[in-house]
Amino acid sequence: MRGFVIAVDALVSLAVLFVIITLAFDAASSADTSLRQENALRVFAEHAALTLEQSQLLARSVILNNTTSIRTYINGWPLSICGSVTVFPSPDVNTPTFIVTKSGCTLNSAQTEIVRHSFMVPSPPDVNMYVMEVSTWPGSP
Amino acid sequence: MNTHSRGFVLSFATFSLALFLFLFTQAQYTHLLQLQIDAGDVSLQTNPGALMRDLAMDLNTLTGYTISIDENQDTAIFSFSGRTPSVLSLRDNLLRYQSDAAQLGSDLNVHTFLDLNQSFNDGNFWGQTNHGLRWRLDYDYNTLRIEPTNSNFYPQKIDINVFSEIAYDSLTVITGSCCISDTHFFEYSINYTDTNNDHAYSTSGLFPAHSSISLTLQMTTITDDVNTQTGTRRIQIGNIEGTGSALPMGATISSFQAVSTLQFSIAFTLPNDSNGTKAGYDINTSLRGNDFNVDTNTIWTTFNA
Repeated sequence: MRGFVIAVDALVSLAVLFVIITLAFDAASSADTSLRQENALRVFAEHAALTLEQSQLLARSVILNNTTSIRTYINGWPLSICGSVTVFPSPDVNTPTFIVTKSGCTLNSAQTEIVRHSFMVPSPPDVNMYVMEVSTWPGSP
Repeated sequence: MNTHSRGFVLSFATFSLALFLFLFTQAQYTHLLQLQIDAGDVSLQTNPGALMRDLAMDLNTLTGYTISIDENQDTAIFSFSGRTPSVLSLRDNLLRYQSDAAQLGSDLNVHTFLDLNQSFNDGNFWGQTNHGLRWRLDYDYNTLRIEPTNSNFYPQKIDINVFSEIAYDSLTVITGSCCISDTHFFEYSINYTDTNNDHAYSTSGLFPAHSSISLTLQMTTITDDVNTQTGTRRIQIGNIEGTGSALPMGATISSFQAVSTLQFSIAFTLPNDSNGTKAGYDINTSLRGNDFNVDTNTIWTTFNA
């Protein structure tokens, strides 16, 4: 009788305790993981945007109307990162000049980080501004 | 009675622990959420820096000129290359970029204003290095002029290479000689070529750093058979003001009434220090947003330092 009273009481308590511990660790770890992932995706997108602009890949793609080199570049990203590169003529950011998405990736809007940069394309005597949008989201490693 | 008391004690202890963990987790979760909010704020605060870097890269393309710095511990080679007259309408493109930059800033929640009044008022687009070298591009007369800001700062070497797409009809070399005894000298070299192989012209030597000496190459090209239009291009090195001995040693390259494009590169070898050397264009720029105000007179377009 004495053992039975302890067992029920303790079992219920322990069950509640384990549930709370599980929920607590899940909440804490998911917030931490999410934060790290967002930062990593954002930093990666920022570096990709800088690379695309400094290497003149985007300007050449706009001039030649050919996105092969950009596709090659983003297909080389790590498996754990998916993404796309969208280019708009400024200031009309509703009609993209082109969109290139990494092969095998489908847009995951819930976890997407977006970085925007401007870049210039000479068209003498003018220089036209374009806006690139680099989007990154988690891929399947 | 004893049994019930023991059971009660155990369950109370367990629930107390559970309650503590629950409250601890709540606090921890709130803390993590705050970290997430802080990370978002940091991201917002890095926007001005990212935007400024973006503007710098845009300016490099916008001007059509290439500015670079190759430095080591003791010296920095500042190079400026491009074409004169430029194939780009620098003034019109700058004006258009002013509104483009404002739009770009608003996308990042950054109020961005590029003040181009100075550039438009005196007809020159100015730039500088952080070590006392200034240059100006004259929109109307297609002239680039590079010189130290004071006579105590002089280059160790000035190196100019020029190629003309049309051969000259006459070349005049003018040497302004008015030397004083000096303990400081700098090296110079000029290499000129055009489509006529016989026109290749090279000269090099030493100039006293504090004199009014200068060397000018003036190329005249007659553009048509009836001699109705004459284009003159000029490369000048040394004391480019032409008077006095306390003026800084610099270089100009100009193409008045241009009949063809000159492709040029000018390199100044300068003393360097531990702060490094960087170069950029003088544009008063204001960036405003939540928790930051950035005001700068120069957009640095090289990132060495």
